[in-house]
Amino acid sequence: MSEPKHPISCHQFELLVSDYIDGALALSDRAAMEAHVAHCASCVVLLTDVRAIVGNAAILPALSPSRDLWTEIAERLDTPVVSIRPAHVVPVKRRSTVSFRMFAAAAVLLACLSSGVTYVVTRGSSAATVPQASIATVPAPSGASTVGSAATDATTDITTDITTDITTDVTTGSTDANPTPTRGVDATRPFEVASGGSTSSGLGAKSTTQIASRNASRVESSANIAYEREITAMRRIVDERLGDLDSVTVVQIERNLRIIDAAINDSRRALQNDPRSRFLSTQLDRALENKLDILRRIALL
Amino acid sequence: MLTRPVTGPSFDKPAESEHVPSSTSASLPGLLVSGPDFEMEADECIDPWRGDAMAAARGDRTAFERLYRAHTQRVYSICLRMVTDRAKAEELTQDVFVRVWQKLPTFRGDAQVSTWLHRVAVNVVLTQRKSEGAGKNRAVSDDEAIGLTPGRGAFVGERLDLEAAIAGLPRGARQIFVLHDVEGFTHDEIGEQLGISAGGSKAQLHRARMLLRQALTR
Repeated sequence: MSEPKHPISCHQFELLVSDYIDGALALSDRAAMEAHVAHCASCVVLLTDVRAIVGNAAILPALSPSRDLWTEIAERLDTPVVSIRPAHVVPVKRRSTVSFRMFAAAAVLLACLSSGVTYVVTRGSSAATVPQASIATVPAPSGASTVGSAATDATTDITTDITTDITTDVTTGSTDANPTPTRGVDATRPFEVASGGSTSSGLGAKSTTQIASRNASRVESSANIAYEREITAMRRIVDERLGDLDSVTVVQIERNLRIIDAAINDSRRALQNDPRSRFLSTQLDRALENKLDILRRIALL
Repeated sequence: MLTRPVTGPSFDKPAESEHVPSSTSASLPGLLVSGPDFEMEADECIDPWRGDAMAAARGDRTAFERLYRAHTQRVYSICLRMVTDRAKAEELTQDVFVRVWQKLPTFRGDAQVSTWLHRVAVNVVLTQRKSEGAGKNRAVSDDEAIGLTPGRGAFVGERLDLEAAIAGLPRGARQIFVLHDVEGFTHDEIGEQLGISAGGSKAQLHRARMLLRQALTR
């Protein structure tokens, strides 16, 4: 055997000893191993020990269980399902689906909730101005002088009532040494007047809100009166126009108005049962506004 | 000396061929891979257990019991050396034979029955080990492994010491040592079974041998 070109160290011998025993080394490495072990006593011992371990492992005796397992095995043979535990059990997650009904219910709920929240937020600060504004911006049909005068009357009535009520409350509720009556101030901005008065008289925003809340029901009734007046005036115009319209159109109009009237009556009944419900109040306002809008459109036909 | 399996009812059957693991990395004939060597041996040798396997596949429990009696010690040995717990090894042995019973109808006879059965045993053990999860079995460091193995005065000759030393090995090194040096699987086969490379199997085997030497020569 020729001397290997690259002699190896004891550390390298140890690293390669398993491959050497298993016959997995290249010829050059094998020659280097044999050359090293030929003059290294410690590596001879290492090689001998590892060979002994491998040799003894190969002839390890078979082992016997502590008992006969056949009875238990035989009992399990009838089991149709494999009893071996799965490596990893992944729980099947049920897909959650939303039915159309659930989706529709959620949409309705969301709409009601948003309407309620919007109403609560805006009610306190603009409860009095809303009906006034809506009525004040009603476009009077051309040539309908009676409607214009009715709208003007309604505006005047509402602003007068509101201004009077709020001014009275502020005046009586104030303990400030310099209360400033607000009657006679710009009647077209009743709540701004009330707020300004309360601020100048030392009342806080909270008391102003309470005042507005107490007056909400009165404003509501005033608004209803204004709506009724406006609707009555518009209805008069519409009745005159109906004679000029096609009978089919008239039937359709009457049908729509009946539907709206039914909605208005339902809202009123509900509001009577729960007068403090702002949601129902808003619903009634919307129904009245819808009827008014339809009447306006019919009048312009 | 190799202990012969207790053959039980089938003691008149031909003896199960003695297991002589390969000392090289050459493929053990008829093991996991089928190649020219396996085909040649399958043609040349008559499997003494093929008849019982075929009968058991058709539902013959008596034939299956003969298979059990002939192979239970070898299967139990694989299980015990792999998991190092007697009760667990017995439970796994039962699992192996139940599994064999269920899979016998699909056994094509490509390999010897004993070879196929031992392969099923290894698969069952490895599957069980995986199901336990790595988190439940804290890896044993090399130093801890040496501490677990019994010390000795004389060298390796006593197999009892070797068994104890094997049981004290870290799990990965122990599995590969048992599969390669005790059961005779090749590194390719071990890599396939354990999902590691053949090089990784070689490295673990060398580590196991060095740890065993260190434990046995203390």
